[in-house]
Amino acid sequence: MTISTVNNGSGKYSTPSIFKRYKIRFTRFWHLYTDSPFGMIGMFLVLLFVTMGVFAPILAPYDPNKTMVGERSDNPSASHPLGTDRLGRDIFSQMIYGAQISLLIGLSAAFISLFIGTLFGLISGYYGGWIDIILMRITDFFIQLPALPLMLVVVSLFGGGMENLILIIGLLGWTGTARIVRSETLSIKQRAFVEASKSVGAGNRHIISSHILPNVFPLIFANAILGVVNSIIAEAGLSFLGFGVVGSWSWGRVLYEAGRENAILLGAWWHFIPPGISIMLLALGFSLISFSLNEVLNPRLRER
Amino acid sequence: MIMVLLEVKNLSTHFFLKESRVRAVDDVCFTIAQGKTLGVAGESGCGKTTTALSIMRMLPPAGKIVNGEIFLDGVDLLKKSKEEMRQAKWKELSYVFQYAMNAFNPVMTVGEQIAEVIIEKENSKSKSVKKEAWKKVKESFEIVGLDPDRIKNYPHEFSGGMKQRAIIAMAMACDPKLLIADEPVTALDVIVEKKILKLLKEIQSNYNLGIMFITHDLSVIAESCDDVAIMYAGKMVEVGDASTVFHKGAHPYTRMLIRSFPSILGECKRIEPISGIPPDLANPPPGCRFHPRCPLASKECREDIPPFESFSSSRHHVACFHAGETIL
Amino acid sequence: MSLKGYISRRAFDSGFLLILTVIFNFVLFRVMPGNPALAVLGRTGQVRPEFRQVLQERYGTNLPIFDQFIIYIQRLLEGDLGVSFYYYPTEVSELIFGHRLLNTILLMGISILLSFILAIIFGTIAASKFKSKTDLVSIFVTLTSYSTPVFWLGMLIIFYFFGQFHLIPLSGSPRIEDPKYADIFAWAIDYCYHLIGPVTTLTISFVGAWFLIARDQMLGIFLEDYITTARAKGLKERRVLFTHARKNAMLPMISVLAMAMTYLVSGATLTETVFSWDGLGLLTFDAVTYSDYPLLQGLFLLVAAVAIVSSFIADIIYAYLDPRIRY
Ligand SMILES: Nc1ncnc2c1ncn2[C@@H]1O[C@H](COP(=O)(O)OP(=O)(O)OP(=O)(O)O)[C@@H](O)[C@H]1O
Ligand SMILES: [Mg+2]
Repeated sequence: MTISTVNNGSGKYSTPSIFKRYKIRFTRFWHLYTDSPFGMIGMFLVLLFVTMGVFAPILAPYDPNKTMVGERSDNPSASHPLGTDRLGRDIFSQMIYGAQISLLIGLSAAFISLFIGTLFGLISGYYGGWIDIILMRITDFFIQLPALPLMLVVVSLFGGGMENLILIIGLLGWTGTARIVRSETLSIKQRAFVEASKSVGAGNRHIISSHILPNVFPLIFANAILGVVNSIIAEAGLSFLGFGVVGSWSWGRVLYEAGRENAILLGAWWHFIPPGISIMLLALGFSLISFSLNEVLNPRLRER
Repeated sequence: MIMVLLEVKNLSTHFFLKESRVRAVDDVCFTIAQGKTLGVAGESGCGKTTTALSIMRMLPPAGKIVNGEIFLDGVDLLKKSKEEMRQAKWKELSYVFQYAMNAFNPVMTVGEQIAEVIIEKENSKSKSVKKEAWKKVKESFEIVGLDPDRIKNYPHEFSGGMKQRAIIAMAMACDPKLLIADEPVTALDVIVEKKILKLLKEIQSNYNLGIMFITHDLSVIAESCDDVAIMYAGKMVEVGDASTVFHKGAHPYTRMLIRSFPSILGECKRIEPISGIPPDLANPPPGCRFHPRCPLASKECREDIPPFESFSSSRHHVACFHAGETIL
Repeated sequence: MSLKGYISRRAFDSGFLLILTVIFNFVLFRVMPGNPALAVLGRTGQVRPEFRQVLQERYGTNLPIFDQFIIYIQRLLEGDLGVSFYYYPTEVSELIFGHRLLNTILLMGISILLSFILAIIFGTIAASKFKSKTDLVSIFVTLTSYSTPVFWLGMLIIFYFFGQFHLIPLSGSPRIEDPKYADIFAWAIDYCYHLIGPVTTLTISFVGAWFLIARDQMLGIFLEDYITTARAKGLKERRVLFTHARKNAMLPMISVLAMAMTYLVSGATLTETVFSWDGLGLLTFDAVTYSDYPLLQGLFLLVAAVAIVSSFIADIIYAYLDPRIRY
């Protein structure tokens, strides 16, 4: 392995042709990824729902909050493909808008988890010693706690609302990332180029940001996408229990309304089957992407 | 009269990868006599392990035997069904893997893992069989020079050399006719290595065992093998008895390989590494695979594949158009 | 390190975590903005005088925060978890340690056990047929089940198996006190009948979460040299898989199981809600809905304690199973 770090005199370290290196790496990765049918199906599903969310105002035939007095609890028809709820709101439009909330919450909460998890994992793995012991004991503890009841408690203490929901889901979902980042950091720390950087006097922060982070990033990325799945499902669960974002439509909220209207017993499948399938497909899309990324990026699996 | 134990005829094993086909073993022939040791040597990646795994029929999924026959005691192993092969394993031929240090399951005792295979081969789980098996485990520990009281120890409680002894005890547990040892001593220090080699020799003479001994290290072969096979880039280039190959080696690769090792033949010569790198086995060069690195290469070598023919005696085979010519 | 030393160090760690949890539990519900313990009085609109009375008497809410903490600890040591706001004047401990705990333990225990076994079996088979059709199909199926919200799965099961085929009862958890049961057997049968729906739901969901872990473990193990050796020895494939490989794969799966132990007492809020299963999950939901803080506190403490104890036990089992850790 060549050491491409040079000291250019200003105390900063630069890595020549870093972009070229990444480009080559990325091209190779992309080839492997597109070979995997799971990955492609996943990407298709996610893109489908992203399109649905972005163009919701165009795609949705009605305002999902608009109540139509004469059309309460209608069965599916040409004007309302999935019928209406008990207040006469168009379920199909609620479904379309649901993609927005699920994606928004899923992605932002996962981002928060990713940030915290990476921070914890990096610090724990890089510094080791008692910092590592304490951080990992805390992580272990959080891994053990059942997430949903904890989220419920926090929501009830601080109230719902979009920002709170994102924060809560994100704050409780970082543990897996922390563990993976830690173990990767540990193994990268041992490698020659980190030692070499240390010997030329590079600071800890520099080593973390320019050697360790780029190397753990691929795995973090695969894991973060699994975080999106978890966040989407957590949001659906909270909304289903009635602790969701008031005023905006998520699929979980549609299911909550369906539950309140006894849709199952009334046989109103159009009210609870489509939103459930949407959650499932979107989450499956992300799961498939994460799985394929892991296959491509995880060195242990690549060996075969 | 030499009795042939293992005869490998025209064996070709290829790895079928997505975009290429790696010809890891190509048209390889050799024999191992009963009670004798064949040392197989060659640079890293030349197909030694692949040859051995083909004999065991334990290739990774991408590897396929595309041609050839492998007779063990007159029976073609490649014609056996999976189940027949499973039964033959360890009873007829056993294997010590490259990187064998992790050959023992860390959560089972060493004795358990040896007894298990004896019991399995007896095909019965009766109390007497089990008792017999454990008795044999103790005996085998004694044979390889381990304390029989330690059969209930876990692998991590053994040192590297002890583990290697235990692995040999395990390999000998069902009295096989052939032992394939893939670099069994590479991970050990020189003193332990010498002891293990001596142990193998003893066992061999006591049990009339045929050994296929794979190694990088020609000096180990010179010390402990009856016959030598030299491989280069998936091909057998020279096979013969040890003294013939070491003193009258006819293939330029053999001679260059010997010269690149210090003092195999006793005298201290200058070390001459072979220049160039071995070819990519997905795209081997036409003709003789060694010609790009060979000082004797001629037009013929670049175009035709040299046949593997007997040279100085019926037991000495060389694949080279210029066999025996002096290298300047 | 000796096994004894290892255990005592882990015991110390666990004790430390337990103390932290108690402090956290106190702080979370007491010092947080707005002091929820008091806020509840305002939120319900009609302040019931006996609440204020109770709060002052039992928690010393009029005292400085440190004194409150001392009182809290004293009460806790006496086994007093406080009195529920919503189910006033029922004690929290009475609410938790009754039929609800039993219901949840039965529901979760059966589901966890089933899923655990299934995940290991499927994971092993899939890994042994790495990249085959069987492997890919089981990955796809389990990823789908992982991506399916558990409550929606429950809804589907009710819709089809109750609504369309009448195979299972709608919901509820039969209580033995119910006079309609002639004897304990009649109750037991009806109880099992009611368990089918939620157990199926949870099992599908857990298998989805654990299958990939089990498969991944197995794959890692199949790369190990001792598995190659076991195969070279010509052992029967069954022995290779279920003795050599499983023994090692069990190790990490024990952590999974330890994690599942907390579900035993946390219950499955969503599934219990959908099937109106009267367990601790549903109780948690009620407690949250009605801002019943003493009850929430009690539930949280129970879950945390079980989490800490089960991870302690898991570590000991781990050390026992893996001879390498002991030394
Ligand atoms: N699973 C595999 N897939 C693809 N190619 C493989 C595989 N295993 C081995 N090869 C290729 O087959 C060739 C021979 O490999 P083999 O392991 O037999 O070499 P070797 O002589 O045992 O080397 P060493 O001395 O390093 O152990 C190499 O070129 C290698 O790249
Ligand atoms: Mg090899």
